[in-house]
Amino acid sequence: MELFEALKNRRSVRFYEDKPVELSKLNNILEAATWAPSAGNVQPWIFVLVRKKEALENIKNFSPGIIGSPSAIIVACIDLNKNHYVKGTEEEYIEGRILSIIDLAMACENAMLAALEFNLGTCAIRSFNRKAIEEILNLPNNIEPELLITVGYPKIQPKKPPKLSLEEVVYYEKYGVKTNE
Amino acid sequence: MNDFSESTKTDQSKLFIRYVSYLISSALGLMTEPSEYGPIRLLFAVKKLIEILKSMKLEDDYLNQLLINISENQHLLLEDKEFLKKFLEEESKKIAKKLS
Repeated sequence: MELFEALKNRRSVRFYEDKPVELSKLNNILEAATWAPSAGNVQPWIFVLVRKKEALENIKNFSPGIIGSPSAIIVACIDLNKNHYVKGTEEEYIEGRILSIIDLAMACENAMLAALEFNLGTCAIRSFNRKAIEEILNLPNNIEPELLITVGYPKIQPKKPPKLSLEEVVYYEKYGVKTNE
Repeated sequence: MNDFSESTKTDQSKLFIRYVSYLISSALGLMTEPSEYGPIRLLFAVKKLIEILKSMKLEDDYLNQLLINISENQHLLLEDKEFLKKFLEEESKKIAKKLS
């Protein structure tokens, strides 16, 4: 799939076919995630791939944002020990944490776009019980789950959502200037 | 009266514990999530509860039909706030009629 076509066709898919996703495809998706840009090339991300039925069911029960039944879940985490300012002031540490989350978000978008190459649907989920997920996945204290990406073959392809036009969100050279002339 | 074996009781307990985990996670999430998530969380809690009752053979025609209605419309219920409101109003009328 061409990149721009993929960008325009990605949807938040919530309902999936009851069909397993091949591990090789999931690993390709994860590899795409790791090619995301990262400030200072720190790469603060850790991904936990969950495919077993019982584990998926457990995560689902603690994740109200998951409505359908995905075949896999990628739990996208940040490694607090890889904070850009791990030994800095509190203010710097918070800035480092923001950078980590920005990096992780870009990695997740890479993964969701790569999934389209395999006709797979994805949905980024933030509505999950963080403490419970940490417990279920046996995450150490320095690994914090930030986003779940559900993956599966779409049962229902959501319709195109309304998007703000360029005129509404883009200014040229200075804020408030709406033409590029 | 149902006569459940120990293993059946354990399985049923597990279903309810999973249900409770969904409710607790929803309550925790809704403390910081957008308030419009609340109605859909509650409606899906209803769906999960009916599924549990059905698995325990505690069936009811109205509840079975409600489960079908939610399942068949869940995509629209998620995406269309007005549709969700009308759906909840219609089901409220049906329940009131059934109970009166």
